[in-house]
Amino acid sequence: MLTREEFNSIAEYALISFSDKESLEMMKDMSEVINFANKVKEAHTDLPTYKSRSISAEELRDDIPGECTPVDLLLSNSGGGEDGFFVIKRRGKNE
Amino acid sequence: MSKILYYSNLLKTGKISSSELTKIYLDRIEKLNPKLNAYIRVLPEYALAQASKCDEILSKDKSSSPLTGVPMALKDNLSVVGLHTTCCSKMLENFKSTFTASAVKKLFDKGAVMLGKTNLDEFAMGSYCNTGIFGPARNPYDLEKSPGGSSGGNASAVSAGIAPYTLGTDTGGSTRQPASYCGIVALKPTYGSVSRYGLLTLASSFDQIAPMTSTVTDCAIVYDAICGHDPDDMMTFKRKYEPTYSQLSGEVKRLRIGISDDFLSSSSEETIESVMKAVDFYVSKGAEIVKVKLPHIKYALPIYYILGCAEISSNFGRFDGIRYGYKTSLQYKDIDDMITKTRTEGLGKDIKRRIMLGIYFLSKQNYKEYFQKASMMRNELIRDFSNAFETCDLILSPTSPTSAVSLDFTPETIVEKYYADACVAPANLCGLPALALPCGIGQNGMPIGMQLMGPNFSEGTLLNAGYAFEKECKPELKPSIGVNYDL
Repeated sequence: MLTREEFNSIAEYALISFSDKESLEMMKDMSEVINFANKVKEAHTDLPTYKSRSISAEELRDDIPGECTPVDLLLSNSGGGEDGFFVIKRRGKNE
Repeated sequence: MSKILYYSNLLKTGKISSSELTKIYLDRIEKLNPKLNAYIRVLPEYALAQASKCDEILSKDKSSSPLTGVPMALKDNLSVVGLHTTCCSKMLENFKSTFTASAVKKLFDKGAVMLGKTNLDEFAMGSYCNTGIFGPARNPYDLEKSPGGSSGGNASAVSAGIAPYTLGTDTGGSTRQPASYCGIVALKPTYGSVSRYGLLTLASSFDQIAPMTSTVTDCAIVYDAICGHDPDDMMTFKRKYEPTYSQLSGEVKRLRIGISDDFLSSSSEETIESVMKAVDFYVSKGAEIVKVKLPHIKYALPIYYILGCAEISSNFGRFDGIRYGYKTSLQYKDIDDMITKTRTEGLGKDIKRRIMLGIYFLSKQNYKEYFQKASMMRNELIRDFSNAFETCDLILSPTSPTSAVSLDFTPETIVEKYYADACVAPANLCGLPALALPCGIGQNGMPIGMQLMGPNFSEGTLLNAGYAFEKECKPELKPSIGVNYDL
């Protein structure tokens, strides 16, 4: 069973918050899935230590620089931005 | 009979124009979609503008693609420039794509007319098309039943006759399972044969764009149009793709069909009965049945969920409310607080669970025993299939262990839900092509589907085998709501 401490640590990494009720439900669900996933531990494999599945360099596309995406288009889904930048409002300690 | 070829013939002989055909479909959608909720966005002006251009093309060139002027629909996780692509999530509710997906662009270049965007489980995660923010889609055979997921809207639309064909996406069976529930055809292509550029990614090494159609012939036509190398998706193969449509002979003599007991053991009796009747059909046509063993198949679902959640947790880091998507309107004390509030409010429960699990499986203390082990086991499974395909040309199995479940089906445990993917997830794990098509009718009139899985780039073989079955044994399915495609 996932501990509360583990759960809180994962939620912090995930940048997601949960109410107490949601936490209990989520911990239960996650524990069930982790128990299910534990099945892989039973398995034996003859294969050597896993290596990354790299692909041949010939398969990769050529490095051909293209036009940059226009700034206006990039900002269009974030409310238009400000002076060509994404906006994150600063909050001071006393605000 | 192929819907696409039927309409193409009418268009090229001038019996109907693309604009008229599109209006017919828009009227059908208006009439039936309120009951089915297959479409979450209908685009009449867009569709009619495309149709008008197609009419100009058809007036000058009768040799254009069979797709020219024929309407279709897209799952709402496929980008079209300037249009909303929501993934049925609050996170992207107001997001407009800044480019068009390569596979979609190929269809547009051939004159496809887009009617609208279809319903899906939020971010394409789910098996019942009931987690999206626009409400559940419904099964045309029984409105109280699920059309399957996550491409449930696509399956519902094709099945009810309110889209001649659609493009869906398949990460763990998300086109094949709904195809089985709704009595239509879906082809999950070989990983790397169709560009994923413009598909809002779920799990990068599993995702594939897939045609969902009413016949095998239509599937072949659409697949031939969308496959091919794309420099914008470096995982697409540079190779010659032989048209699969020209391989549809219906000849299956000496075809070696593999059967694995592992796929049958979790299925209902009526599913097994329907699938075994399909086996009998192929034997009667001269195919050979081979028993195959897949020693590591019992680990397929745990492997899929470990690796899938790991990739999802990585891919979903992009949803932070800064560059696009939903942003919290609550006060926040710093950037982390803003991102946390945004993600908490913007993402659904299923997504959050998979992100959390992915982080667990990738964490320092768990990485080796879960992610690394699952990656090695994935290679073992690929080897199992590779060995099996030395003795057979394709593997036949059920698509889903049962026919469609009720919309309010609530499994006792989360894991019980995952068993619905037992037959379909392995193809995504191993990058293999798989075709789902109807093979029987359940006792309550619900469709039952079978799946044909083959080695890489065997789409032609799968489609031909499916074509042979469909020609002679297509079940007489009658949805309780829907229209015939004949005009």
